[in-house]
Amino acid sequence: MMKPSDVFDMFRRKGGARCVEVGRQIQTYLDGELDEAAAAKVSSHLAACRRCGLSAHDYRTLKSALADESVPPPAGSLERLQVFAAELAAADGRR
Amino acid sequence: MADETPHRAMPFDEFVAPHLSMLLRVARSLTRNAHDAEDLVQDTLVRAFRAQASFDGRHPRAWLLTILRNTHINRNRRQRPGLLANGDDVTGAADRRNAASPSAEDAATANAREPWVADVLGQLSQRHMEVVQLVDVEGLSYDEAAAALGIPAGTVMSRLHRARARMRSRLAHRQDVRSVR
Repeated sequence: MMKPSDVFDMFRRKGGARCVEVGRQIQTYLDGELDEAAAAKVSSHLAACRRCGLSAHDYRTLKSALADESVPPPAGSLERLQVFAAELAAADGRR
Repeated sequence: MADETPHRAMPFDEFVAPHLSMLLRVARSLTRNAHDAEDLVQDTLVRAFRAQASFDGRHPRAWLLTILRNTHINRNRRQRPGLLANGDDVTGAADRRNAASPSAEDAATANAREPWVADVLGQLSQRHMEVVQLVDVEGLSYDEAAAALGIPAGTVMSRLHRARARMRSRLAHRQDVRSVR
C-alpha cells in the first residue's frame, strides 16, 4: 500500500516531469509512439525516478516476452504468396 | 507530372513482398487458422492489385492492413451471410464462426514459451487480447493495428494500455516471474 510520502513524491518533478504525467505516457514511450520532445522528457524522468524506472522495466519485460511469442508463418505459405503476387504482376504486364 | 511514388515504379510483387509475412501473421490473428489466413492474404493481394492505381504510396502497411480487414469482413459475409448484423464487429463474427475451433485465448496461449505469458494472456478479454496480439506480439504500430481492426488508434492505445496494466498486475502475484515484480 502507498504511504502518504509516496503520494507526495509522485507530484514532485524529477528529470523535468512528474510521476503522474509520466505514468500516463510510459507505455506510449516504450511503444515508440511519443514525439521526440515528450520522449526526451519521459526518458530523463525514468533515469531519475526509481518507481517509474521499475514500472518501465516491468512493461519492457512484458513486451519483450510477448514479442518472443510471434510464430513464423507455416512453411511454404510465404513462398506461395510470393509466387501468387508475381503472377498478378505478370498478368498485368501481359495486358 | 511524373509519378514519384515508389510503389508505381516497381512491380506489384516487389512492392508487396516486404509485407507478406506481416500480412500472414495478422491474417492468422484474424482467422485463427493458418489455411484461412493464406486464403485471406491471397484475396487481399487481388484487391490490393486492383486498387493500386488509387493508392497514394504513403503508409503501405496500413493500406494493406485496411484491405486485409475489409476482405476479411467480406469473406465472413459471403461464407455466413446472416453473421454480420448491423453494428456487429468482425471479431464477434469470427468468434461465432470459429465457435468449434480453439478460442483466441487457447490459440495464443497453447504454445506460449513462458508459462506466465500463457497465464496473463489467458486472463484478457477478446478485445484486449487482439490489440496485444497485433502490437506486442506482431509488432504493429498503433495506426497499423487500428487499420487492421477498423477502430481509431486512440482506442487501440487505451485497450492496449489497460490490457498491459492488467497483465502487469497479474504478474505481480506470480512467484515464478523474477523479472517482473
